[in-house]
Amino acid sequence: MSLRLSSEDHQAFTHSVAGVLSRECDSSALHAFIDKQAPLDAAVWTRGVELGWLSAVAPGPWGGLDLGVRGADVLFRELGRRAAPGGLVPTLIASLWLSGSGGDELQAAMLPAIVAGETVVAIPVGEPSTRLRLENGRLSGVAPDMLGWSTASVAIAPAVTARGEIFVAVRINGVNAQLSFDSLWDRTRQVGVLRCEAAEPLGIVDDLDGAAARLMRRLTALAIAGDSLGGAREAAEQTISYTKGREQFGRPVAAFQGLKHRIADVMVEIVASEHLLRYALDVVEDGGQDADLWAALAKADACEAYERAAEEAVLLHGGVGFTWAFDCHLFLKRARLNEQLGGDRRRLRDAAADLLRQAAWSDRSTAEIAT
Amino acid sequence: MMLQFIDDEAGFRREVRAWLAKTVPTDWDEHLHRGTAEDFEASQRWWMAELNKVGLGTPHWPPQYGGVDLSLRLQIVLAEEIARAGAPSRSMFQISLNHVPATLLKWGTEYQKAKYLPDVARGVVWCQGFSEPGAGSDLASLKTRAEPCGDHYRINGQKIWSSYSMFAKQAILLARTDVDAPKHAGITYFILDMQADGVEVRPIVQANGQAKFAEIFLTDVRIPVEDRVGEENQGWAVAQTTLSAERGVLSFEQAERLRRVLERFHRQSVAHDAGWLQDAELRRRFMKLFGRMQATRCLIRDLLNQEESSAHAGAITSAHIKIMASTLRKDVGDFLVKVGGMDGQHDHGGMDELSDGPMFVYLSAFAGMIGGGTNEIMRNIIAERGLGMPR
Repeated sequence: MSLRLSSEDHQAFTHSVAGVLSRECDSSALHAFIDKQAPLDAAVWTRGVELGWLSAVAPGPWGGLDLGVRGADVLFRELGRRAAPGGLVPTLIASLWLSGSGGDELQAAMLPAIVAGETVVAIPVGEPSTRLRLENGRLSGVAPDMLGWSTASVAIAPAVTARGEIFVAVRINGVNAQLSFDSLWDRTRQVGVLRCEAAEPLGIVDDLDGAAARLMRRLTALAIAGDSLGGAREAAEQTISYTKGREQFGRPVAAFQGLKHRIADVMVEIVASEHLLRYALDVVEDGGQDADLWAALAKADACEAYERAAEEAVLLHGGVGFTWAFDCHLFLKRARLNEQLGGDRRRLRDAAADLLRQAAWSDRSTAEIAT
Repeated sequence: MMLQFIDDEAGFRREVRAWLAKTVPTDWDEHLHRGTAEDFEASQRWWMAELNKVGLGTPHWPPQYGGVDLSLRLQIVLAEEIARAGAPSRSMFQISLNHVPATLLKWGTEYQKAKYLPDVARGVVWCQGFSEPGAGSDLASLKTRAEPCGDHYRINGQKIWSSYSMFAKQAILLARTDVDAPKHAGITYFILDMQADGVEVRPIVQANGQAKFAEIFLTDVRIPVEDRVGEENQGWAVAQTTLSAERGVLSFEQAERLRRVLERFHRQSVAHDAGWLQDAELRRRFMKLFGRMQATRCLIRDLLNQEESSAHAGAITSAHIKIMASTLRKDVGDFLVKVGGMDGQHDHGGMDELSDGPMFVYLSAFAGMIGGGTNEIMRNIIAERGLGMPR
């Protein structure tokens, strides 16, 4: 089990991350990046490395603080809140995955470089796919839907061998291992295709029982849920602030009950989703049997809350909410992409339903909360 | 016996569970499905008496009024075990057990505490006379008059939505003592004897067929001065204490019961391979509700932990819980009705928190969205007090 921060330390960590990002990844910096006028992705990455964000989640032996998913959640929320561009999110997920599933060799090959900020990693976020094959120690084929960044130097992806399913890590060398990205509506993210042609893998992890794949899905779900709730809060807060300042009919539009109730409903949904995510994080961190179920449900609700908060942000800002210059559309696009990363809500709730049914067969409750 | 374990959580839980197993008949709620109001009353009184026999009637009260200052942790354990056992709720005693002690312990005179609290602990039913036909969400606009007449007040007016008032011996009452003052500043808080001359209770039949609330007509009713709670015209402040007692362990227990309803329904569906499990949209809808159930339980635990730290944060969290829990209950009812198909339309009666009769759960759920401050008022609280949006 990872280290659990005291609530004071957790708050201090949140405060520190939030403070740095609110200064260096604020709305104007974000818009400059979107408009290709400033390399905010590189700036956020460099700052994160300097401040030890990548070492925060890595295990102790690799120079990390071992804060686990609860520690990583602080970063996901704040990066989501600022809709931060770059490779931090997939790299953090990769670091958590390596810590849990990687095996000594692969951990040694990758974690020190991740902690040092030298490696940006791409990870699989699409439907389970094994179109990569390992034969005679060489990897060939295609892996779609890789969440990464143009600076990614390693990709982790599922593959098959003659003896069954595996995960491979492969260095992106631009020759026989290439990662190519198409532009997305969400400019703060890059999702691309990994193509390998007899590439030599950096490392291999057997996954005959599917545990490594489940861990990747679980971590992605938690990460994107955190990102979504950070973004949802910011979208809601910007909307509240805007409606307090915008006057029509001689009063701030925030005074109209129709608007208040819509915003209150957004907040209720956000708060509910935050509690579900916190519960899921605890179950995952405690190694609970139902970790996959709660991570899936938490991500489904978080993305729903984000979508709603972002839609209401556009609408309650009125005309300016539809402009490029405001942030609303950035949240809306990130929300819709988040829904697709690591499975949409239908897929996640179907997976959770299967798990709940299995628990019911064995007459076991999945909903115990330690008091 | 169980109270010997108040320093040992695991032991307390074990003892409570064992006691519930031997005390609560498995079919007690079946009898009430078609029962009368009198059956319901008798069942409630029986359950209160059973709890009192073992010191679990009002264990969280101070020792001088019959409790043992049971810690919040153990109150939670007790509520969890009661929900787990499917034991009766004590809805008829909701005002007696929560609102009355919260109010009297803070505002009551020694005479009032000594006179009323021991009876409440023994199972005397109280009701609340706050709302009026013309004063619902805008409670402070209430018009029931209380005129000072020397050693007593003379009360005239009408109260409504007063739950269990047909079974009540006493009521907490708000009435106007100053018609010229601003509306919040002219209200006084009283204890009303429901047997007094001039008090008439007329039950109101609800959408779910039950008649658990009523109108109270007050005609020249005398209330002695010693039954005034707080000073004259200070009633609004006293009432805030009463209203804040609506949150906490009570909503905790309700959420735990809803969890049991959902889990039992799911287990039975799986056991019988119910058709809705094959329907992707219904299955996903159920999982959404299952997640919200858990989120609500987590939020309520949060409130209980923060209760003493900040009254303001508590009020906002309570508003969130009110909306989440009541909406969830309605959505669960809606789900059960959809899944129930034609069968779900048959009326087999029902018993509050314990029933999973589809239409009964569904219909009853609306009460939770309207009563105790409508969800619209809760949205105002979240927006205005929580988010600082202007009035």
